[in-house]
Amino acid sequence: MSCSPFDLRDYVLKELSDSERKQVEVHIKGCQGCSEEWERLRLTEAALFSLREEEIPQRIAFVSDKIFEPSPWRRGWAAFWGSTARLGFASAAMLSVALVVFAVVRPAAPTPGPLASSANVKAVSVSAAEIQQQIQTAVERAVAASETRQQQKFELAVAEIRQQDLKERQQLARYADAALEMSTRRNLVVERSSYGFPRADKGGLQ
Amino acid sequence: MKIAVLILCIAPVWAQAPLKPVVSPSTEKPTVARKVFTELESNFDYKLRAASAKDPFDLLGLTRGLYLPGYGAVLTTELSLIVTPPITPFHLKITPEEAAKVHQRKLENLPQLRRTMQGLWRDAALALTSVPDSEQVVVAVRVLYQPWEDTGGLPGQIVMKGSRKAALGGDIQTEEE
Repeated sequence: MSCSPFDLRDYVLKELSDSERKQVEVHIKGCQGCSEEWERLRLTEAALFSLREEEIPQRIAFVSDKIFEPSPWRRGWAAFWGSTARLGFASAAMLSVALVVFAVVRPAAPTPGPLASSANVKAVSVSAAEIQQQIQTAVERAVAASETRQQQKFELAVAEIRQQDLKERQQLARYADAALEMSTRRNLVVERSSYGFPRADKGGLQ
Repeated sequence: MKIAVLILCIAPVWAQAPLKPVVSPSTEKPTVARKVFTELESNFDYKLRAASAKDPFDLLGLTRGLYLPGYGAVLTTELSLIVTPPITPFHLKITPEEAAKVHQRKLENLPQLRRTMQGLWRDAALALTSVPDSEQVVVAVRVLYQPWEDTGGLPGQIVMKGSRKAALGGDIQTEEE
């Protein structure tokens, strides 16, 4: 407790008049306790003034404030997106709208103009004939090209088969020749073992 | 005159062959009777036919023997190690399995051919008594194959040779190609 005639905190914060300040100063010089209190307050003051100056917030808000509530649009979107029934309804509605729009704006099918003039009819018939001709020519060309390709493939396949066949025949002929040679040798062995070698005086060997 | 006539009469006596025969170097060459070779050839053919009872050799030529003066006697023959299945109108294709089987059978018969040839060489060396001991006795066998055969590990020919003198010691050289 301070025994000073005025509050020492007011003195430190310079909120006393000059006469009051002089009285406090006189008291501090004579009172050991108030002197120590005054020293502590001075230290506290120095520490306070050494801190960075912070701006005092203008307004304090709470979570329950309306400002933190989602907007009606966001709430509506969340409710719509979370509901399967609403989504299904919206899809069906969009489909219906699309069908209606298509029925309204689709192009009309071309119909022969019964009121067209004879010149127009002629022009149309001529161009149709030309188109037909062009289509015919294109089809013939495509068919001819396809046939040529098929023919080439066929000829290639035939040539390959012939080549393969020739190879197999040549191989078979070689094998058959070898088999025949062995058979001939075998027969000769049997014959000469049985009848001996042909002799010149018997007309066999010249 | 009488002396001259006597000399003339005696002169033909000196013209006669000398009393001591002149020893000239012998030019006679050893020969081998054809009969010996014929018997050897028949013997070879018989032994080759009978050698492998389980899977006999296929003789594709008769044995031929001849004597080369200054070198020795040579006997040759031709055979297949087994009776190889041939290509026929009813059997136009040899399958890989058949070819492998033939190859295996031939490999199994090859040691038998070597043993038979050693016996034949010894027989020939002992029978050809008119061939000098220092000259060679050669037995050669050509082994024939079909074109489709796998000849891996099988020889094209086997040659066994050695001097007649070596026949007693069994010193024989074998060459396989």
